[in-house]
Amino acid sequence: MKKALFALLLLCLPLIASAQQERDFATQYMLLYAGQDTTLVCQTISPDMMKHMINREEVEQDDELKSILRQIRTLQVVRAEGKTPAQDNFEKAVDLAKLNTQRYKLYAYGDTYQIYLRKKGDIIVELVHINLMEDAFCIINLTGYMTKDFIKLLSH
Amino acid sequence: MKKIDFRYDLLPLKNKLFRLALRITLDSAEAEDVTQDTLVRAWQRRDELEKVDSIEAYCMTICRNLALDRREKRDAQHLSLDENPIETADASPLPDERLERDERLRHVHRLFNQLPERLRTILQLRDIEGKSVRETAQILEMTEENVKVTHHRARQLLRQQYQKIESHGL
Amino acid sequence: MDYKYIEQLLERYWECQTSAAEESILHAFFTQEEVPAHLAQYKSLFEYMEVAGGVEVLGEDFDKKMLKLVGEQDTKDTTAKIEVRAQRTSTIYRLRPFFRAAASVAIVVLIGSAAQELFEQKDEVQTWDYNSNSYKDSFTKSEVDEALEFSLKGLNTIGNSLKDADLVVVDSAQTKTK
Repeated sequence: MKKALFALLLLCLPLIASAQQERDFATQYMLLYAGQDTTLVCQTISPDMMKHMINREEVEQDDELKSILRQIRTLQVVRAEGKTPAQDNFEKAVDLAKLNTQRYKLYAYGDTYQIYLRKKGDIIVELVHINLMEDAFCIINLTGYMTKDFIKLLSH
Repeated sequence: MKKIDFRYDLLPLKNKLFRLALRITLDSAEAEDVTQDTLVRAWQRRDELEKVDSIEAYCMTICRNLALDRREKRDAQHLSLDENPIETADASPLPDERLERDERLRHVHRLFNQLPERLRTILQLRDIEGKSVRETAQILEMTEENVKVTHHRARQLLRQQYQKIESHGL
Repeated sequence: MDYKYIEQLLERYWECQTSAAEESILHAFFTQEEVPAHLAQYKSLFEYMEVAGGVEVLGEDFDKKMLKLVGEQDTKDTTAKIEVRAQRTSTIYRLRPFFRAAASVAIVVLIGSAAQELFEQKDEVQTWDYNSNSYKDSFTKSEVDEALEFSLKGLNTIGNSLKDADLVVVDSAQTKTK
């Protein structure tokens, strides 16, 4: 049984996960494509940096902002800086998400973007925003401990 | 260590001790006697008291032991067997007018007092008086592990009894 | 209104898995004026525990008796001083007066945000199953403001998308159109 499952995972363009170490979407995307496409860059905010940010006075004094940031552990932005057609990158990203439907469920979409969520019970542990705006491609990837309120706060 | 002052160190504990004594003896008059005896005894041991961690915990231990003694004596007199874990305490006094007024609160009060002594005492200490696991272990002269296990049992039994009542309708 | 959080807390309460803060939340919730019907049965339980903790039967007479017994002089301001002292021993449900004033909706909102904090303390580590060490900052420690600006831009972008999404997928298979 285990062997068959493992084979299946390999077939499914794996998000290779061990018990403790999961890779988030942005990291996986970079692993898959940054080798061939040197225009791809990923900017990272680590859990440590998030803490520093929250301690900033302007955040301390803004309850809503504080509440939002506290639920985020990491923030990553993947962009393509260059000539690669943005549409191409966008489609690759969407394909990756669709291939991993057990992890990423489509939450919202419009013409130029799609938002996927990875949840554990009621908690959103990852939010993936794949964006194609004005011919610029980017993935904004949040991980953390986000609740339904988080979505509300972000969108109002 | 500061000298123990009866008025300021011991007397203020009176109601907390009374509540514990009442929970154990289920009798107002007994509870008051126990409280009195506890304070007197604590006062007699004030030299020892100066050295303890928590005067309150120490007094509550005395209180419980005295209350248990009283109960034993009384039970022996009435020749009642306390092997049945669910006590019938229909005559348990209501120490507060709020409890008098409210039918639902009376039910809960009865329910609490029907639990075996150890379990209702733990609920009294942990949930009603808000004592920590550590303090409760001190007062009951148990290990902290034992306190946790007993507390868990108490809540489980409480829940069972509670749901029994609710299902019979109020 | 979804009371799943309270229901979960209650389950954990019976199992003695709740922290003091979580129990404060249960107390605050159940001592509101309006408790939802399916949880109403527990209202009296939590009320009882609070009331029972405040029972003060022994008064001045008891004091007088005791002071005599231990051979102390009774002074006029004894009882008053003792009562002040007794009140200073804090009640465990410190949040109580604060919550009492709030309407039930406000309480649920407050509980929501407090709940977040508690979740963060307890289960967060296991639920968030990524590796902290695998994230290398693109901004240095002295660039926290830039990092903040960067993050806010990103969050804004997500926010805008959420706001004008043509379709929002709800948990089950249904979709609802805005």
